Amino acid sequence: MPNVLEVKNLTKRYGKFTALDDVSISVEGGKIIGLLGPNGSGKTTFLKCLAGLLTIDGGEVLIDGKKVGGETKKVVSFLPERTYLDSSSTVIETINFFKEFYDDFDEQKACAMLETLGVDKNAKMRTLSKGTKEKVQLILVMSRNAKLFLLDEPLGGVDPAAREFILNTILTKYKDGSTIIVSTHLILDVEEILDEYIFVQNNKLTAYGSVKAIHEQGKTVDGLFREAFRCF
Amino acid sequence: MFLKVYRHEFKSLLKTMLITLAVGLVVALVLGGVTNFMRALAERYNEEGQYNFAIILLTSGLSMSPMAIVIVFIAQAIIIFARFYKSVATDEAYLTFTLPSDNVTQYRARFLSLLSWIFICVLALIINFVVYRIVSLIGRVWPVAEIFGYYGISLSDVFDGLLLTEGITLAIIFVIFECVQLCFAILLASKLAKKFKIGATILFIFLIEHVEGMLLSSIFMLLLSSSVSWEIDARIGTAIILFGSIVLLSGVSILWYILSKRLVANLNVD
Repeated sequence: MPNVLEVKNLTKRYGKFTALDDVSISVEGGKIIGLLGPNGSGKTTFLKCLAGLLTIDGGEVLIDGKKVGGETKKVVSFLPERTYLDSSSTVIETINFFKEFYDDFDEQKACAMLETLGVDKNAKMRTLSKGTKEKVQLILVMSRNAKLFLLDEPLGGVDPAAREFILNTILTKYKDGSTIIVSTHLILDVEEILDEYIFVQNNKLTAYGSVKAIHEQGKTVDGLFREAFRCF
Repeated sequence: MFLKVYRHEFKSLLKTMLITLAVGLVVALVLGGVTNFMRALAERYNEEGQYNFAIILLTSGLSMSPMAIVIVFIAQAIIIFARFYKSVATDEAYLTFTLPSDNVTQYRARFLSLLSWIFICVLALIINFVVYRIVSLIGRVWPVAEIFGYYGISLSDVFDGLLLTEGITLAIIFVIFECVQLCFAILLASKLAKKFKIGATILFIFLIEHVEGMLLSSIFMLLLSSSVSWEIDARIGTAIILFGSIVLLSGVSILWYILSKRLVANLNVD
């Protein structure tokens, strides 16, 4: 499959602090990639650069052959760590909002997923618990037929039962041929579904490889991660 | 996409704004009626030679009642700017700036929606004042067209002396300038402040308004003091309006450039 993402010498600074330093990577279409690294290593900054939420200070990011901007946002579906939905809207109003703005949004799929998780469509967002809001947000993001999904800590605030649902949803998108980049600390939970892994350390990409190759060596990504990022 | 965002932003405030517009009208009607009644009561006591201080006090207090109409307008403006702030400077910005269009388009559509609502509210403010005056003078001045005469002003004074068209043009430019300036303050403060963003934004708005007030009043005082007489004739009025328009339009252009090219195009959502 052709490359869906090309990152060349990407640099991002916050004042004097360099959050991403000369990062380069090419990602093929139709893969599930784990973006792994300790806190503050630059994972969220990397995803935000791809989503067009940060202006890069150097290098180039191409998504589906285009520079990050209005056109790439049509094919990128981003799930941030934070809840960004309007708290005064109801769930169904939020669905209608996504339907209006994203041509690739599948309303039926979103409604079916909400039903599976037992979320009341007429409930106001502000009345939902933090975990339920995160589920709604995930459903909205995953109900798009985007080429590239960027998921920042999608398993963070949800219960173990919902985690399984989320992983299944990611697998469904994989079958559809989309590329999914998942940033997470919960490596054990996602390892089984990953095709490739990226390690981020000290604001640089330190490793990028196939999960299958790791498994063939009798190792696990989780074990490799613990080895690479040992704190003592 | 521009129209989609504009329509969505405009509609998102529709319900709240309709309520506040209705409140403004009710406030104008009630205050106009109460003022009318109290004035009539005070005049009756006066004619009978009874000076009821409570009535006089109440009547003089009611002379401040137009302030309530202004307060409704200020509340409306706060709601409109708060919506803008929420969509570009809070967590909602994650949604705003991942919608499928470039960041400048997002900003422009939201600004246009803000401007539309502000103009609607300014119009409502004027209507509310007129309604308040008419209701407060019913029974005393009739027909209503004679209201200007009641204050010793003829309609020709209003249309010729105050250069109505130019005045309205200047007012429109001033409103646009104020809106651009406040949006600039919101975006800059939210970009610079890492913590206490709302406080920083309010502080920055006060600061920018203060500096602007000082600058504009200095310019106009200089202009007025250079005239031979304080009587504003058509020539001086036109000059002031032209000069004011140029100053404000320059301000709008500079701020708009900084907003579009610097703040929005080089976006960094925290």
